[in-house]
Amino acid sequence: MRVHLEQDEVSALLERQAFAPSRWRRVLFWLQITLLVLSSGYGVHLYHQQSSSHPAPLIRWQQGSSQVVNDPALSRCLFAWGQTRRLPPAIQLIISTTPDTWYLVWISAGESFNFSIKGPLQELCR
Amino acid sequence: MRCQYSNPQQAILALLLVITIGISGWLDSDLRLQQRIAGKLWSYQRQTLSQSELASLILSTPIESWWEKGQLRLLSNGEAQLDVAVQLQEQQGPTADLRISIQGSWLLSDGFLILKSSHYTALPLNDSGKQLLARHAQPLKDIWLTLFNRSRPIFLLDERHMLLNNQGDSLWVLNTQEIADIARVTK
Repeated sequence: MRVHLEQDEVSALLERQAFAPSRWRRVLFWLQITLLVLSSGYGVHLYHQQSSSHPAPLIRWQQGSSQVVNDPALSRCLFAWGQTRRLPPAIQLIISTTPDTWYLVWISAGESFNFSIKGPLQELCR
Repeated sequence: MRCQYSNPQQAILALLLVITIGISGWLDSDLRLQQRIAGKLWSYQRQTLSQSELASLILSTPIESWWEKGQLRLLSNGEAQLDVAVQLQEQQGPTADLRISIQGSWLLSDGFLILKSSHYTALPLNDSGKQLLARHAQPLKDIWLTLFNRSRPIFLLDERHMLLNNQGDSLWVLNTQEIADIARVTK
């Protein structure tokens, strides 16, 4: 096993040590990389959020955010109600409620219909 | 890319970082939202499927049904115009047809759409509308200006649908066509 270094190997090591980046430079580099990844991820998230529409046919709007409503009976009821009123085919329905009133938005390809309804929404299905 | 921690490498990284943060900030800004809603004609229909309490209270007569079909223009220069065809039905009475126009300005701030009126006109479209205006012109104006002059949180459902949250959790969804598209169709 060789225990001593050649002259050129020693020179190379000394040179590398002499020109090695300082610690703060390394920290700054990795900090920049981390921030770049985080900000890119945030940007992609924002873009995706703004460009994608809610795919669900029925959503509930509450306190400024939407929740998908998985209630096939209610969906059927509302779609059937819209058909009886001869509304154009809906691509999405949005519901919202205040203590005494329901709001239903019927969104079709070219129009949007805003309804306000007193009492329970299920009354529409009777 | 090998990590050399060199000045050029860090300068490029810093530049990329500034660009990415700038784009993220712009995507989340009022300016971006403003660009997406300005220069468009937003239309909607609204109907109250029960007695309209606010209108009944202000007009001092039971309003059995309230239907409106409106268009809201949000111009790029900050001007706004709302044109609405309204049908009001008093209890067991004929339907009063009116056309309401409100001009004003619009502004986006912190995710809120702020509408301010500067001019209001109401025209009757039938005899009942004429009678309603003769009796209740000022209360009707008060209702419309109160409804118009508000700041509402705004959400874009997609490029063609805008949701405005009125007080509480009441909803107002409008859909759009580009004004340029409409001009092209009507030529």
